[in-house]
Amino acid sequence: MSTAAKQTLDNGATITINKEQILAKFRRALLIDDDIEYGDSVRRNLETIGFETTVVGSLDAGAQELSSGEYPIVLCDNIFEDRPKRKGSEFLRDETELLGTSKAILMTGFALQQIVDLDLLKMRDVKILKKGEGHIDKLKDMCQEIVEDRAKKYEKKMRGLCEALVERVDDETEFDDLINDPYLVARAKTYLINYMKKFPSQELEQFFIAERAYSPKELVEEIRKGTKVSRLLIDSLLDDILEGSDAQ
Amino acid sequence: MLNKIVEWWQFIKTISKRDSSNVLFAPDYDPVTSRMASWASSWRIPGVSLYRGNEANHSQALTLLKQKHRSTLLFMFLGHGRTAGLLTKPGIGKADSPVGCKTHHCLLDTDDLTTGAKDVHIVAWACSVGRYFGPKVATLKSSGFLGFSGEVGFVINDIRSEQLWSSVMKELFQHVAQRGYIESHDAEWLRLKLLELRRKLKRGEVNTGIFNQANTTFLKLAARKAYVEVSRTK
Repeated sequence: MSTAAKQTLDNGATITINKEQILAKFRRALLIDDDIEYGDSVRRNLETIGFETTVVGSLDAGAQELSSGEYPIVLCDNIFEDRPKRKGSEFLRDETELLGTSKAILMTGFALQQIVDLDLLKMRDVKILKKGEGHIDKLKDMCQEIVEDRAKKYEKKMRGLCEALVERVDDETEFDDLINDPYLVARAKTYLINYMKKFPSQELEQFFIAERAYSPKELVEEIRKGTKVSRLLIDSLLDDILEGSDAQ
Repeated sequence: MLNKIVEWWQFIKTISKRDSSNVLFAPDYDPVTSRMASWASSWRIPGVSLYRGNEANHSQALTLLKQKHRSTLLFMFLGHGRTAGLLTKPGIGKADSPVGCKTHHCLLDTDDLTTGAKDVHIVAWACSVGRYFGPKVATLKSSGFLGFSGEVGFVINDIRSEQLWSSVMKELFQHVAQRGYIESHDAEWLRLKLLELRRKLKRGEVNTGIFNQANTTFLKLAARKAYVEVSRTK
């Protein structure tokens, strides 16, 4: 059964949005728990409702994972056997920047008193799940609910962007992030590819970006593929060009 | 009486010299760290001990961190970094850290900060360390962190570009080493330095030829990501 929805605009143009594709985009979770067997069981259970779950065993590993990938849902244990000095609740309280737009679920097998700043976490919409009989089913429901809610908001935003693009109303794009403007991104891509082709030595590694060195030729490939490095370059280039030379 | 005061003054000076340590760690194991380590060797910053290549290992870093007879440790780092820690050559880092991978091992992660360490000031010219590891350094007593809160880049294998990046990195380490610790306005200082250099490139006062565009973009990127966090507990 197709879940694609069509909408016809006033000027006759149509927008097709595939709801299943949007839902699939958000069915990703990061589980931070030092109990490997439990982590594996959660991963397999969430798989049954279409989720792809990454399991890591420490808060440091969780921070690392959050910085390198986007996770719509973060599941975090509260007490870590090998790291009693920091709790999952403290992690969720402090790492707001790393968590970004992820929705967090704090999972605890202990009393709620063990949770640091419970009220603050609730205010930030962190959901609390008590581990116990039937909690995996509850977790599945919570994850489904979060994904459906996010997908609905995303669809609304996409529809807004599509309408603005189709009707060519430039100033109606609501994205404040430059990298989301497809026109500018395409221009920056072409500019960067042409720039890279100018270098006399195409094979020599000359650009250090995020952990490794690239040759101009390799960067052209990265830009064409639209990888993370390419996004970083495009965003920086647009920021550099669009702001005045003296701007901070 | 005057003799006593002079003696005391000499004693205090000796103690403070022995107690404080300024170190610069520069791992050397891939094209990028190799370039940076060679720049670091050429700087010879007064009062700073250089730990280059295999000397930049986990056990050495941990020993410095745990050292009892010191007042302030200024730990400067030039190399690769990740959100949760600093990196070094595979085989000489901390093998069981979640921060490491096949191509880089962990030099220091947040676990190493929980050894009762205090008076630790870390300056890291490395990607992303300011996102998680840096703020954790600043939770230690009388400590601070200066670095970048995201990915940064620069140009290598081009003499003029390397001179540009080496000089700005040296200036930063010299600036902090003179004082021996980090202050909350240091990120602003770094930001202004980077943007000043960028303006010079744009005006043609500094020229890196075909790399001008890449260098101005990377300077701006680094300026945007400059990050400082200083401990509130003394």
